[in-house]
Amino acid sequence: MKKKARFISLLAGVIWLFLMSGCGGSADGGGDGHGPAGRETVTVAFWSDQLTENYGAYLQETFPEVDFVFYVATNSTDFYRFKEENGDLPDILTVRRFSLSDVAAWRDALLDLSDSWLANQFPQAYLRNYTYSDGTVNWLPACAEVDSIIINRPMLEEYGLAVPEDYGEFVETCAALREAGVRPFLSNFGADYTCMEILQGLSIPQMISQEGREWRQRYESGQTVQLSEEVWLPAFERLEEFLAYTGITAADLDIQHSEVIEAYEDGQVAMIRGTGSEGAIRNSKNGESLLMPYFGETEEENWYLTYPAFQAAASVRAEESPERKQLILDILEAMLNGEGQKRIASGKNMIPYSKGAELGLSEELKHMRKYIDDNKLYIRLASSDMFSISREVVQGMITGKYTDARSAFNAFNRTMRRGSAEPPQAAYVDTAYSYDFRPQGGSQAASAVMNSLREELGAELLIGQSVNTAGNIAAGSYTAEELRFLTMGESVALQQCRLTGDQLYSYLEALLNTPGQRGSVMNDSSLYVSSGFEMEIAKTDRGYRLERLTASGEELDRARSYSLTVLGDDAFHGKLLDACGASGCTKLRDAYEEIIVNRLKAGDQLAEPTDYITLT
Amino acid sequence: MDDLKPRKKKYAFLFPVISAACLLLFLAAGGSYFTKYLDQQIFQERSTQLTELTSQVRANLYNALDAHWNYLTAAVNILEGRELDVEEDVPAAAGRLERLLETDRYSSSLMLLDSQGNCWDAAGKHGVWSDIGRISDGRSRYVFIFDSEDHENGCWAFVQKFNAPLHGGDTVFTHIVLLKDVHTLTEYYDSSAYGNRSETYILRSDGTRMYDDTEEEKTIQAYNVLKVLEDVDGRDNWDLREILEQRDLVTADFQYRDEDYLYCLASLGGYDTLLLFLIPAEYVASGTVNMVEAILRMLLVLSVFLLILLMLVAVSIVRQRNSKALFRREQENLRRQEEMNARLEESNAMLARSKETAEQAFQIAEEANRAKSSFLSNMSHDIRTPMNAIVGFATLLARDAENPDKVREYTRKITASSHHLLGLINDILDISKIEAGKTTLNLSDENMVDLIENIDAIIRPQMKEKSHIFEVYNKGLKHEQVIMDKIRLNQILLNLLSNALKYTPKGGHVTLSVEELPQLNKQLARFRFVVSDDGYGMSEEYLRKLFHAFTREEDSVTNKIQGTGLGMAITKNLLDLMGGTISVESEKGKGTTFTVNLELHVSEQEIDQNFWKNHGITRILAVDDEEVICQNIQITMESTGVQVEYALNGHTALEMIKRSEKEDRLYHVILLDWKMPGMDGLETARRIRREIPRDIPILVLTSYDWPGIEDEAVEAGVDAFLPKPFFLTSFRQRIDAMINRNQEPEQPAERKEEQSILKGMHILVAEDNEINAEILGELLDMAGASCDIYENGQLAVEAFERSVPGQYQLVLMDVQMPVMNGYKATRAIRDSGHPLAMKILVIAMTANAFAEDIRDALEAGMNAHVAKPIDMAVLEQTVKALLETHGDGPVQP
Repeated sequence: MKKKARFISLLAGVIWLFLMSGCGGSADGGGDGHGPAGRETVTVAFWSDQLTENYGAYLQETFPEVDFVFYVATNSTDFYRFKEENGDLPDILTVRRFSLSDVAAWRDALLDLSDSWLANQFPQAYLRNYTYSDGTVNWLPACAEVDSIIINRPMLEEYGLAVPEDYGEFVETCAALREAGVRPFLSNFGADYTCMEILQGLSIPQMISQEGREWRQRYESGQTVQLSEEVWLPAFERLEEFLAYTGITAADLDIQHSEVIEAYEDGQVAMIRGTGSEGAIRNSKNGESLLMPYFGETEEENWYLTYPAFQAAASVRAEESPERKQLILDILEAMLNGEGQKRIASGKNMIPYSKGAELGLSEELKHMRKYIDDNKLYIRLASSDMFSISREVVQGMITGKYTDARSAFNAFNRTMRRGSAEPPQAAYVDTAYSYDFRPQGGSQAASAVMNSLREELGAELLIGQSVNTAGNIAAGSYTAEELRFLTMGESVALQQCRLTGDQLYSYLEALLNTPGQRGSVMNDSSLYVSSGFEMEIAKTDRGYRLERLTASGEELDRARSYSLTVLGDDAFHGKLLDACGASGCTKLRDAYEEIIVNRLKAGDQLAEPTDYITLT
Repeated sequence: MDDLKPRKKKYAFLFPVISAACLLLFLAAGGSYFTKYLDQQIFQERSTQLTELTSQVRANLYNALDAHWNYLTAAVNILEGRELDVEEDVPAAAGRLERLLETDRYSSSLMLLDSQGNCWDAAGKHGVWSDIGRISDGRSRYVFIFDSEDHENGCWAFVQKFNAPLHGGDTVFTHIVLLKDVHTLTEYYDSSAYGNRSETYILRSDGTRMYDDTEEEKTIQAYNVLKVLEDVDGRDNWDLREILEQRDLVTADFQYRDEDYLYCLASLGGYDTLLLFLIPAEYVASGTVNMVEAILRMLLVLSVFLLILLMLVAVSIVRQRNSKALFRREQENLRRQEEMNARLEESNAMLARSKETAEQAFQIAEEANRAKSSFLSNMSHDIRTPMNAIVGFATLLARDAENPDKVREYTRKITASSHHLLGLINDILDISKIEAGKTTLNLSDENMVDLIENIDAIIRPQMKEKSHIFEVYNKGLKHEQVIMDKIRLNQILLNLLSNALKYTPKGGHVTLSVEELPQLNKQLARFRFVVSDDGYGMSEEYLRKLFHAFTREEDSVTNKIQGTGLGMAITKNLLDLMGGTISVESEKGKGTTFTVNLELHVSEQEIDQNFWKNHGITRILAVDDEEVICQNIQITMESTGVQVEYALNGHTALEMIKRSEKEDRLYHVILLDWKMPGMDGLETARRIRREIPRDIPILVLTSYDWPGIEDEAVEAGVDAFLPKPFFLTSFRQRIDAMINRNQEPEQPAERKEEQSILKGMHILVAEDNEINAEILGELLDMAGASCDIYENGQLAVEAFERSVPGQYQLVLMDVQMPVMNGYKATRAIRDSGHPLAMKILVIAMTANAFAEDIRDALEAGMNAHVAKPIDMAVLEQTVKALLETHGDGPVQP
């Protein structure tokens, strides 16, 4: 109660300071943090568009006096390094993939949180992972995401199988399923994180052993860039076994995560890799799904693999004034406290780091409790190298490039030793575009990207959310990796359908006013971007109201049929399109990120932005 | 001085203000210094206390930690080398060990860690130790505080890695941990000193908290406590870790959330741990601070007392000053009052004087009135006297018309009485004019010698009539040509000479001396005229009112002498007008001397300086028995370049001439005095002519009538007569006349007295008054002149225009006439086309006899002015003067 009162009083103080100081400023990450109407502007980069579901709206509601500028960042600390090099760090950074050594080089660009009360809210066992040797703390973790094996229990029972409880039973189960013609396990091995997590997850007892721990400390402190044979060779051997008995082949490398989910939901596969929230979702859809740990030789050696849902940090620009710093700390506190954690994903099955936050395990995952009590929660080793090299090596093992564990282990070490060469320039962007949202015109950066996407797809009309453009677009040279930093690279898909002008009105009206979904509008900065037509939208107390649609200034013909391409979460948009009567909806296989990267790589520039919106 | 007063006041005001400011400044500076000094001392005291305390606590903690390590080492020694057969033995073994080591007694417990990080203790196997990551950097010993679910406030962990892992079945044990509840160790590092106000922080060497006591509200809430201490305002680059590397203990103060704190940071070498002792400053050395505060209060009281005292002194000084100022003001007021009184007295005196003056003026006025009355009475008498004579003799004339002797006798007396009456009237008019301030000077370029000679010519006959010896002296007259009102100066000198003439008994001696005093200004010549007689003289009393109008000394002698009593007043007023002065010395029975001093502007009219040189005159010889006269001639001739030698008698003169002839130093002119003892002038002249072959021009200097001696002189060989006194102008004229033999030297007026200048003239007269016209006609007829008389100006002008050139030699013009007055008529004549329009002499003939009338007449084109009634002598003199100056004027008959 005391803290709450203090928080409220601080909040009131901040509000009072805003009112008294008459703040204002631009919305870009490198701006001065002051909005035009005396309001503070805070740019928050989300590590994933899953935070658009509830989290963004929660922040905006918690800080109504703040103009938040949201965008979805590529889930990599390299993205922020790139932003930092361009002087364009957002005020608040979030990232899931994290290793302290990956961010040490530009730590001075970040706010030191160690002298704040906020840092002290975290158990030191966790906080140690974020503390530099001089005591500086830039990053703080949100709650832990549990990422292990989701098992379709009814399906196993269907085949007369019990839920495995240790590694041996797991192997047996897989073998039995395969014999029954069912794929025992599937995951998106095309994704680096899957490769990395399964490699580590299958050998957590190795990782957590005395040797494993000591090696990890040496690795994370930069004392070594080589995998310990004692620790890691057994891990590769275990993976080699796993790939064999689960029947993972090179063909599985192209499978997307959504397809894995579909296969699981369709009963094509009994076990998949997934998170606690996904397990809960599957459980509700498919009956009793269990999120089981990675199995050890004995049940006592079973471990759940975890990682922070995301880490958050703030730009050192917050130091520009005590008031500003306080506001940023308040927002971080709101992001990382129990209330904030509830808004991450479904808010369930997350293991809180911060003191006082309640554990919210769903009923079906209650069995996790003892693992949590015994602290059988392994935090993945998530350096950038680990991600990329794990993918390279694990995929090599799947494709047969590396025929045995030893060769894979050696390859891993070779790659680690090689280090990263200076990547070549892949494209040059002539024009810089601001991500700032203008009520008369919208975001130029987002419009340039959406217009480019429409051009590349040859679409008639296109709509996509502004947050899927990762902030300001800087002019200059880009490497191939940096080109991916222009767009949010995962989770959003493209689909096309036909609908009349009237149906388009209905779809957009619903799009503007459906909260709690991945792709929901949270505030002005997250409004959708139209390409090929313009929107006139009125802001109301309840949200937004679509007033008028035009194409090149002419009102859109409500009776005419149009082809509309939608960029966003296919489930969310699919529902809305169905509801408005759109027809012939088809999912495009083209990846949004790839389309933009390829256009620029080909030497083309981004399309000219258009004034796509009038917000009154 | 008045200006200085306020400044003085300002300074007087500033001094105490500045003094007070200085005092306050001194007190403030002193207070500041003293406070700072005290703060420093207090800080030192507090630091010392805190350092001592912290050192003590640290030593305690060190002892405690070392003791626990010893304890753990003992446990390790017991365990190491033992092989645990089965896993189940591990809890039992741990329990036995605890009992053996009596861990309960020390509120501690033992725990074993297997290679997976699982915890084993007497109760059995537990999960993975949450802080397993903290003991994985390869070291063999760790000590830290961790959050423990079993120990509410955290737990100290003393971790020892086995040199050789213990095996219990399949389980490998890697570490043994001695756990100790935080609170059981608190006694070693907490202090109950300072009223439990102190806070103890156990930190890692990087400054972060080792544990957080969630129940306890610590002052510093931050995770990195050291950073908070380092970020204190005013301490830039304050790196406590760096300082701790140099000394293991740091004491400092800092302000946090508006409160002053003291802290002492101590490093626990070997344990990667810092001990921070933090306390609000007010609780440290509070006794000392209280004592200092008490002293300060005392000092403050003393200061206040001192200030009050000073203020009282200041007030007293100010009061004293005010009293002084008041006293000064009162003094000043008194002085002013006295001044006022003095002024009032002065005013009263002035009033008294004014009153006296007024009374005097009244007396004077009364006296003047009486004088006027007396004068009127006298005047009445004086007017009546000649009138009585005129009327009486006119009656007698009628009775004795048949007797020519009687007729001449009566006519002469009537004429004399008439002249007296006229003079009386002129004087009255003059004085009234002067007193009315209407008299103006008529300045013109005139020759002083002419004036003197004119006066001499007028007065000398009268002197002669009274058998007076009249002598005129020239003393160093250098500037003869001066700017003056000749008529007025003439009037002044004639007045003085007339008085001398009248008030000197027959056969007296009258002198006129003209002297030029040394110049004070180049433009002004200073003249002194002295008229001296040996007559009756005047009483001292009368001398005081001599120059008052209407006064005349009344005595038996002077009463018989005709006089208006206005002459001296007129003289004095005229001299005042001219800027001159007049003084008088007189003694009854001995005579009177009038001295007139007058400055006159030197004329700019050029005098031919080369006259003498051009005529070859460079040396002259003056012969006079009076050396003064000779020297005067020398002085007068100085400016001419002519060398003057002189001899005081005829013999000497003759010798000098002879010698000069021999030496060829010729005298070009010889001036001889007429009357000289021994060989007189004539004799000397004769001897010169006889003994000197060269014909040297000889001029006789004489005061005597030249006609009476002319024949004898000419016979003696004298070439010309030069009247005394010697004037340069006269001398030059005579020389000029002698050299130009065709022109006779001018004779004195008296020489031609018998033949009127008017004789043979035909005169045009304009006169409207029939009687005056008749009288004038008769008078002119008597003078041998004829006339045509016209009754107004118009007729006179017409007559002139009709006349043939030479028909009229003179015009006598009345001024006030009907039809056309005299001024207009004169202008008409001058403007007419008559050949002699500009040359014909026109003389104003009017009863308007004042100077301005004369000026108006001259301005109208008239040549001169003669006042009515017509005095033929004056008319003739005027005509003569005009003829001399207008040589080409009227056509001589």
